[in-house]
Order: sequence, then structure tokens, then C-alpha cells
Amino acid sequence: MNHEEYKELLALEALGALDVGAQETLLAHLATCAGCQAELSELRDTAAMLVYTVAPVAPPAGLRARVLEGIRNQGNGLASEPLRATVPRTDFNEPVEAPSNVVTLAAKKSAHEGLTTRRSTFVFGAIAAGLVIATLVAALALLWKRDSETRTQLARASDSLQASQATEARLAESLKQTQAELSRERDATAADATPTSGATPQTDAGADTARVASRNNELRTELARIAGRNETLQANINRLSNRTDELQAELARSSTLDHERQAEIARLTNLNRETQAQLAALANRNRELQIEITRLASRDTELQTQVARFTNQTNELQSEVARLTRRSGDLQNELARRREADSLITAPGSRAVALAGTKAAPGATAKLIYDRQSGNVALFAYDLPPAPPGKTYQLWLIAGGKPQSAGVFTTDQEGRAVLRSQVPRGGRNASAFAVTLEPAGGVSAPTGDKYLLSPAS
Amino acid sequence: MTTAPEHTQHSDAELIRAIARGDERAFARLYDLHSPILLGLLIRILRDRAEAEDALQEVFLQIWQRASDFDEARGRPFTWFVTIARSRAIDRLRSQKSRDRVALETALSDVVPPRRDASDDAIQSEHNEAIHRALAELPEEQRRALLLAYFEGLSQSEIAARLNEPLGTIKTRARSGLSKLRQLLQHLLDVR
Repeated sequence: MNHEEYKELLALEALGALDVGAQETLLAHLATCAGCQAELSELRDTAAMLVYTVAPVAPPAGLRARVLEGIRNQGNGLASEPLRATVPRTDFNEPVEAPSNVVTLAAKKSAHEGLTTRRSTFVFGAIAAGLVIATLVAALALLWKRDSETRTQLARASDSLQASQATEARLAESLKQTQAELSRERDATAADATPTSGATPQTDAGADTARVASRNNELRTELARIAGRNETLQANINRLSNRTDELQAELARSSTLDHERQAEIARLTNLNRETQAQLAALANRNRELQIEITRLASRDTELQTQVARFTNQTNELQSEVARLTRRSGDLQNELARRREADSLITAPGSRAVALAGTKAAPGATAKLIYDRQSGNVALFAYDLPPAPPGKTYQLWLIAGGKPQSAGVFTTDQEGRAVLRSQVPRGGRNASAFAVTLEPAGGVSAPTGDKYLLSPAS
Repeated sequence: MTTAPEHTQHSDAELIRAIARGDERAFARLYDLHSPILLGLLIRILRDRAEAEDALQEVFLQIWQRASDFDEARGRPFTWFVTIARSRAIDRLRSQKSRDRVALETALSDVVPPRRDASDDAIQSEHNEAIHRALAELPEEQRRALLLAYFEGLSQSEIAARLNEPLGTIKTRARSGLSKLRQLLQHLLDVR
């Protein structure tokens, strides 16, 4: 056997389960191997821990005294006198420990702690573990009840057995008495049978013999009956013994099962504890997340307020932009007009003519600039009375005695007016200019009074 | 950790040394401390209260006589006197030709759950819980092999016959189971 094989035997030896042959081999090896000795010592320590699965049982008070007495009386070796303690009948009812413990179950915690359905898996696991524990507790209770019933049965069997034994004892006693009688009678008969004297004793002896003979027969019959009864009782006793064996085997099995169930309970209790720890951790996380949500919600409100404020500002700015755009347009129109005026003044063929007011508007004057080539004309009038409602001023170019309209215009509050216009080719050869007051919208030929005239040339 | 006065291994070793010197008070103290667990063990193995009480007397007598044999370097005190108790019980179990019928009525008491002692040792219940938890972690067949070997006193071949398994399988299960148990209980075993 190599060293590894020796090591494989150590566990069984530590448990005290090594077969004799293998044990001898191992012990021989251990004598020389300190490593295996040390390992065996540790394994024995581990095996001894199994004793803690058993619950302690307080010994009766009398036993302590006997033990202490025992060591004082010890002679030169092992205990000598039989040490059986008498067991009074009342012990039968006294509860004593069983091979297995009842593990105290941790209280089941409620699986509902206000969590959302997202953690229902763990809740379910906790409930399931709790239910299984409850089932196992119920199974243990059932087993305990069955054990009680078995115990009752054993008690009854025991009673019956004792009754039988008592009967047997009585009958044995009766048998002994009968046999004693029988032997006495036999002796008496033998004594009477010795031949001694005359007829009279003979007749008495005959009657006596007959009586003894019949008594003999009675006793034999009685004996046979008792023997038969004895056999029956013996058979009963055997049957009850067998039954007792069976029940004890049943108890042993139940005990093993009990061990296993308790181990299961311990395992599930652990699982329950772990699940609850997980639930607690998730509850914490939940709280943290809710705090975060609250914080983000208030931040959201702040941001929305800011957005509203910026939106208002934007609207105001857009109104401002529109206003400035319109103003820009107005200014650009103005610029275009001034450029036109500028070009009219700088045109090489343009002439400036001064117009004077007539009797209708003596204080009025005007300056007219006219470019024969392009037909562009610009009129700047001053101090014209405002046109009455329904009327408007109109400018005429007179070319070859024929007046041609150059457009209508109105004055501003200060009596000033500006007109820019262009006449078509046919009327460009103008020699005189006039402004009349016409109905609103203008006419094709002058009808109203003249207000401004160019000097006659 | 515990509120009850701690009875350590070290003090057990001291008691045994005192007993080896013939100190009767130390012996009485050892009895008071450990007779309950040993009686529990004997009842568990023998399944007979009266016989267990007889065996307890023999066990303590042996402790008294062999105290000088105890070597602290070779093992824990607890292991030492538990081994004496177990050996005694297994021997009695094996030498019985037939069970004592009168023991019937006392064997009934096996079935009842343990009566809680008023002075439950805190270390006792801590170890109790630890071993139950550790056993629960073993695979069922390993656990069964350990319990059959230790408490029923069955040998390797008897266990193999009982469970209808090959010898080698039983050896492996015992080895794996005990090894795993040692690992799980390391924190309790290391206090030397």
C-alpha cells in the first residue's frame, strides 16, 4: 500500500469505522508516520464535533454520587460490581431527550415591506422559503405525533407482555405446587403399596389408591393444559418481541429522517436570511432612487421656469427685430429716392425752374428740376395751402401749348410737397409748368385754379 | 460573544491534568461540566436510558483511570473524553446478544424531544447551530455515511452492505464528508 492509500483510510479511522484488517495495517503505518498521526488527530477532532448534534441530557442526581463513590472505591482496574440503576416505573412517563434536536426556527419576517413589483421575484422567494419552512415544521409535528402513537403502542405491548409474564409466573407456581403434590401423593402411594397387614387396611389402601390415581389423572390433565397455555404465552411473547424490534427499527429510521429534515430547515433558514438581506439592500436602493427622483423633479421645475423666461425674451426680441426691419425698409426707400433726386440734379441736360404762387396761393413757391432727355421731373413745393378734402394738386408740363400731367401730390402739415415723376416721350419738350388744384385722383386736362406757375418766357 | 462564563479548551486540559494527579474536586467539576453532553451521546448510541446511565459511570471511571494518558499536543480534550464515551457505547452495542426486553419501556423515552436545561451553555448552542449548518451543506450521502459510522458504530463494510454501495464509495464519501466538515468548522477547531 502506498502512502496515498494510507491517507485515504484516515477518515474512516477517525470515525471509528475502519474494518479490523485495514485498521491493523494503518496502525502499523502510523507508528512511523508523524504526518499521518497529525492528520488523524485533526480528523478525530472534526468527527468529535458531530457530538454537538446531540442535545445534552442532565443526568439524575443519584448518578453523580455513584460516580464519585465509584472512583473512590476503584481497585486496580475496571469497574467490578454491576452498576445497573433500578428504574422506577415513574421514569416511563418522564420526558427524556431524543437523539435529535429541535432547531429553533427564526421568526419569519413579512415579505411585504412596501416594495414595488419590480422586486417581486425576491419577495416570492422569501415567501416560498417561508412556506417550505412551514411545511417542514408541519411534517416534523406529524412525525412527532406518529412517534407518540408508536410509543403508546409500545406501552400497550409492554403492558400486555407483563400481564402475560405475570400469568406465566402464576401458572408456573401452580405447576410447581401441583408437581409437589403429585410427588407427595406418589410417595404416599408407594408407602401404602408395601405389603404389611390384613384385609381392612387393604380395602382402605385400595380406595386410597383409586383416589390418588384419579387425582393423578386430573393433575396430568391440568399439567397438559398448563403446558399448552405456557406455549401459547411463549408464542405471544415472541410475537410481541418481534413487534418491538420492528417498532424500534422504525424509530431509528424516523430519527435519521428527523436529522435530514432539520438540516433542510437550517439550509432554508439560511436562504431566507440571505433573501431578506437582499430585500433590505433593494429597499435601500429604492429609497436612494426616490430621493434622486425628487431632486431631479425640482431641478426640472427650475429649468422650465428658465425656459419660459427665455421664451418671453425671445418673443420681445423678435418684435424688436420686426420693427427694425420695417424701419430699415423705410430708410432704404428714402435712400433710393434721394439717389434719384441726386441723379436728376447731376444729369447734364437737366434744368431748374422756379415756380411762383398765384393769387390763389401768393406765398407759395416751388422749385422744379426737369431733364428733357429722360423725362424725369422733381418738384419741391413750399407754403402751399393744404388741399381741401376731395381735392388734390396736380403738376402740368406744357409742351407746344398742350398740357401734359406729370402726377398728383399732397402737402404735409407745413405746406411742403415733393413729387417725383417721369413723363413719356411725347411730352418731353415742355416749355412751361403749372400746378392746379383738381379733384382727388387727378384729371387728364387741367380744370381747376392754378396755384403755381413757371414764369412766362 | 457569549455571556455565560466561557469554559475553554484550555481549562478542560487543566482539569484533566489535575485529575491525573488524583484531584477529586477537578474530577467532580469535569463531571458537572460535561456529563450532560456525554449522557446525551450515550443515549443517542445505545437508545436505552438505563444502559446509558450505566455506561456513563464506566466512562467517568475510565476518565479517572486514564487521565494521565491524555496528551494535549495530540488532540483536544473534548475529542478525548468524547472518544472514550463513544468507544464504551459501541462496545456495549456490539456485545449485546439480544436486546433486553425490560429495556422496552425505557427505550420509549428516546422519542421525546430534548428538555431544555435551565442553564443552556451559550457555547453549547453555538456549536450546536454550527454543526447543524455545516452538516446541511454536505451532500446527503456523505452526511448519511458520517452519521451511520459515528452514531450507529457501523464499520465501512457494514455501511456498504446497509446502503448497498461498493466499499470504495463509502470510503470516498467518509473522506470527502469529513474533510468538508473540517473546512466548515475550521473556526471552531482552530482554537487550541
